[in-house]
Amino acid sequence: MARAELCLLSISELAERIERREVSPVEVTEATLSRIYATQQKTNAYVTILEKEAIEAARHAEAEIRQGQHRGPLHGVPMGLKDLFYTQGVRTTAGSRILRDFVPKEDATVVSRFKEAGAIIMGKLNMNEFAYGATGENPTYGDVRNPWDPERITGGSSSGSGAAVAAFSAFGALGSDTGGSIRVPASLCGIVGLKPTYGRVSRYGVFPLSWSQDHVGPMTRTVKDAAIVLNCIAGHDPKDPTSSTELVPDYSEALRGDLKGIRLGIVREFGEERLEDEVKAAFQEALRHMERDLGASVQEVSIPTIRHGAAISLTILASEAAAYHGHNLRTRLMDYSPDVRRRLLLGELIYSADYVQAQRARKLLIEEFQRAFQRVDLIVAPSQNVTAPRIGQSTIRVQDVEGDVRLMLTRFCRPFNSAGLPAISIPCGFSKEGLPIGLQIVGRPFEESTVLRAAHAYEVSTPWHLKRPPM
Amino acid sequence: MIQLNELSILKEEVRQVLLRKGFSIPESELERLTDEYSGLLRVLERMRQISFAEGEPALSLHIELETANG
Repeated sequence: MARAELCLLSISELAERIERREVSPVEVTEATLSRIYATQQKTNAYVTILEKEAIEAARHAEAEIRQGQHRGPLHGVPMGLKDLFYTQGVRTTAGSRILRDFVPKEDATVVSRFKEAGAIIMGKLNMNEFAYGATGENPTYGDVRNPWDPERITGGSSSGSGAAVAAFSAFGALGSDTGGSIRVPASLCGIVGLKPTYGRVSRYGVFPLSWSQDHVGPMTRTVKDAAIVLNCIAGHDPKDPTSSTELVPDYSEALRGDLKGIRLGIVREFGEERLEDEVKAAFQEALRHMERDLGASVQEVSIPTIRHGAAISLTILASEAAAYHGHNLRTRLMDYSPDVRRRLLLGELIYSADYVQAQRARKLLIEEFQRAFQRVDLIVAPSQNVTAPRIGQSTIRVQDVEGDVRLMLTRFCRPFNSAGLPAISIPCGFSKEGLPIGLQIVGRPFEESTVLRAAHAYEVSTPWHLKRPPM
Repeated sequence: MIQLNELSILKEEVRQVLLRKGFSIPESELERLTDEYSGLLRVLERMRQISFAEGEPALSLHIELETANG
């Protein structure tokens, strides 16, 4: 296989070849570095490229594998990290000017797990400043551009992760998701993004945005790859008091069968949202396919409080973010970019009674989801109501109504952060302009296996994940 | 729709709150912040209308665990 073609493999395909010693970790790391340099100018996905460290780690992996010590499916596989995960001795900016020179003394737990699994860390990936944004635009490190159309946003905040995986300059990446920051870029970049259950993956050594809504998860090109990465990073971490002790199953084991017997729910109140025609058509066709060809049944469920989903999520997010950034806001206010400074100050203006009321409404939302999940096994929804907007675009018109891009992009995602439910975005079609469209599948708490099973059944029976961006 | 004079009253209120908290930002940013704040107030107002059953849901220290464990 030609070196450039190696980058087109999925994690699972590469892992098999590495284990059989048909491909060496050094060879694939060098190929990925070439791909990074070939695409970086177009996507701006990386903030820091770890060339020397990656080659060194690849040589180490190669020596271990040669000695018969194969660690598992991530051994020797080139991966990327959103630049808010602490990396020992490697600059971690969180996409900000404030942390331009911050070098952590230790690794985030998920980074340690990657290293223990033998993954090769290719670099740190661009993102919205402090993860506070949904577009992928960044005034300090430059905007990340969508591999499907460089004039368009990738979505954020895990923008570099979305672009790198879609552009084949990483086999997979880690992202974080507070209101859609994994699923938005996954959807707009045509890849798979999984936000696991709250507490499923440790957040130790991850810059917080909103403690009670932050999640860490995989961004990959296939559902099978997402399961491989989740197997590596899921599980209790004594360093993170919010991490769960719930047992971790083998997620790869779940990827079999169709959807016979699976009851899918569509949220009635989401039906009141405006969707671009092509997004609506792709979503309806995905539903039909899962029902007609894969054997699922579909019914409507009602989650009335979801109408307040944005208010609940944003009130909690803005308040918690302002609390976390309190010290820097008071000492380095003008070192934040204007957009993030404004959002953080908004948090300073929220009344405590509204924060409490948002928490009460959040509880109602969770209860309504619990009731819905007595009737259905999974909830399906569009990931976004639009395809990727243009870079710099602040509003977007859908069915003759102008809306804020940031609010529009996260509308279908936020409620699942507030409720802590596992949610995946997978490609379900393309617009006439060739832009990806995402489908969201949501499960009960800690039922990532069911989410992955449904996503996999859909993926392998449709062609969307096989399409490649023009670059 | 919020009226222009209401917006300038709100802008002054935002300026005063921020000043009390020790923040000073350029006038152009203050205007945009006020705009966004007025938008947030509208959704908060709707959220304030949610009718909760008597005393429920009460908040507890376990909210995060409840969130995680369903």
